[in-house]
Amino acid sequence: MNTALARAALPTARAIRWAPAAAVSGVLLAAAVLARATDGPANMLVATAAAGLAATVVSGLYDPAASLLAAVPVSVMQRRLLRLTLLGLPALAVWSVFDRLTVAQVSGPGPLLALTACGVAVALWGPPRNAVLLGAATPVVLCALPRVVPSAAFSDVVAWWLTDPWWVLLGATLLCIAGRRR
Amino acid sequence: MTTETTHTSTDTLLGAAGITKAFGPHTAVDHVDLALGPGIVGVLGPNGAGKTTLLRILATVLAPDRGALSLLGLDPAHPKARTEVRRRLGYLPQSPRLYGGFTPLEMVDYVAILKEQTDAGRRRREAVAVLEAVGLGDAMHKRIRTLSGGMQQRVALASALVGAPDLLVLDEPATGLDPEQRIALRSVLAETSHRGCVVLSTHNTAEVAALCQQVLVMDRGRICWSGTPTELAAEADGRVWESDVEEPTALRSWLTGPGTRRHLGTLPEGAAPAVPTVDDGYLLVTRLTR
Repeated sequence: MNTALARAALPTARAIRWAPAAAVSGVLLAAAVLARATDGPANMLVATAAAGLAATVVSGLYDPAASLLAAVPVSVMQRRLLRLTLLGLPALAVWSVFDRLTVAQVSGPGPLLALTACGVAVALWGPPRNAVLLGAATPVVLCALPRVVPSAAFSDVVAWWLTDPWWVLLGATLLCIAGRRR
Repeated sequence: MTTETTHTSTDTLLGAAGITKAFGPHTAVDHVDLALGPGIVGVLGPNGAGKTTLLRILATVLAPDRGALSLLGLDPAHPKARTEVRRRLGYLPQSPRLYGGFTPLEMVDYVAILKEQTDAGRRRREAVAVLEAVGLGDAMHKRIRTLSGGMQQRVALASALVGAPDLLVLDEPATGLDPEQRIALRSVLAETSHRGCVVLSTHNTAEVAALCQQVLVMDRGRICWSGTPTELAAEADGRVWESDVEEPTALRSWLTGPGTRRHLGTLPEGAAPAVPTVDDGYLLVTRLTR
C-alpha cells in the first residue's frame, strides 16, 4: 500500500457509509445468539450471514465522489482495494464472532470470502451504471437461488460457494485481477 | 483539422492526433487533432456534440480507441506516464458529487492526499488558499450537505484547482453559479492559465468571449471550427441584423427583447447589419456545418 493510500485510509473510512454494515452485523449477531439459544437452523443462518456480510462489503465499492476523483494519481483500483480492506476487515471480525456463536456444518471464512469475491467480480465486469448494485446483489442471489430453483444439479453448482468456497474464491479472484483496470 | 494556437510547438502542453472514441455504433469523438499551449481554451458545441467525451479523454479518464495523445509531454497510454500526468492535472467533471458529511476543507484536503501531496501542513494551507480563491473562505468548516448547489460546485472546482495543476480540464465549470460567482470564476481561471493550459467546456458564449484565448466548436464528434472569440464573432460579420418582424428567409431568428428579433443569414436588401457577437458566430458555424 503506497503512502498516499495509507494517508487516505482515515478520510476514506469517514466517506464510507457504515450504517448499513452496522445494521446487518447487529441483526446477524442477534440471530446467531437466538439460534444458539433455541437450536435454530444454523446452516441456513450461516449462508444468510455470509450473503449479508458479503453484500455489505461489496456495496462499499460505491463511491459518490468517484467522478471527481477519476483523474487523481491514486488509481480507482487502489481506491477500491482500500475500501474493500476497510469494510472487509470488520466484516471478517463479525464473521469470526458469528462463527463461534453458531454450530453449523460449514465453518471458517471461506463462504464469506467466496461470495465477496464473486460480488466484486460482478461489480468490476458489470455495466458501469449499475455495477456496484449488481455486485452487491450477487451474494444474495447466490444464497437464494438454490432455495428457489428446484433442479438439484443447478442448486449444487450454485452452492459451490458453500461447498467448495476456496475454488470459487480462486476463480472469482482471477476474474477480479483480469478486470482490475475496468 | 489541426487546431493550433500562436505559440511554438515547444510550448505545446496538450497534443492530440486523430483521437477517436466510439460507444457502440455511436462515434462520440471523431478524429480530433489538437495542439494547445498555455492559456484558456473554450469548447463550445450543442448537446451530444462530444465535448464531455473529449474532456474525459484529455483528463485521462477515458482512453481513446484510436489516435495519439500527448499531455504535458507524456503519453497517458502508459500507466506510469498517466500517473505522472495526473499529478499535474486538475479535473472537474460534469455534475460532480461530493461527500456530504465532509466539510469543504476536508474534501479538498482528501483530493490533495490522493494527488500525492505528502506534507500535511502545506496541503492544508493550499486547501485553504483554493477555497478562499473560489469564495468559500467562510464556509470551509460547514458540512457539504448543508451548502447550496453553487457552493458545492465551487468545492468541486477547488478540488480540481488544488495542487497547482499545469493542465486543468473543466466540464461546464459555471453550472449553478450566480453572475457574481461566474465573474469570480473568471479571475481564478485567468490566474491558473498563466502557468498552464485550461480547457473548459461550456454552453455560455459570454463566458468564452470574456475568458478564452481560443475557442473550439464541436459538432457530431468533430471540431468544426477553431480560432479566437473575436474570429468566431467575425464569422457572422454582415450576416446578422435586427428587425421587429419575422424573416422567413433567415437561417435562424430569435427574440432579443419585446418585439425585437435578431436574424442570422443573408442580409436582406435595405437591412442594416448588426454588430456580431460570439453567440452569432457560434450559431452560424453550427448551422452551416449541419
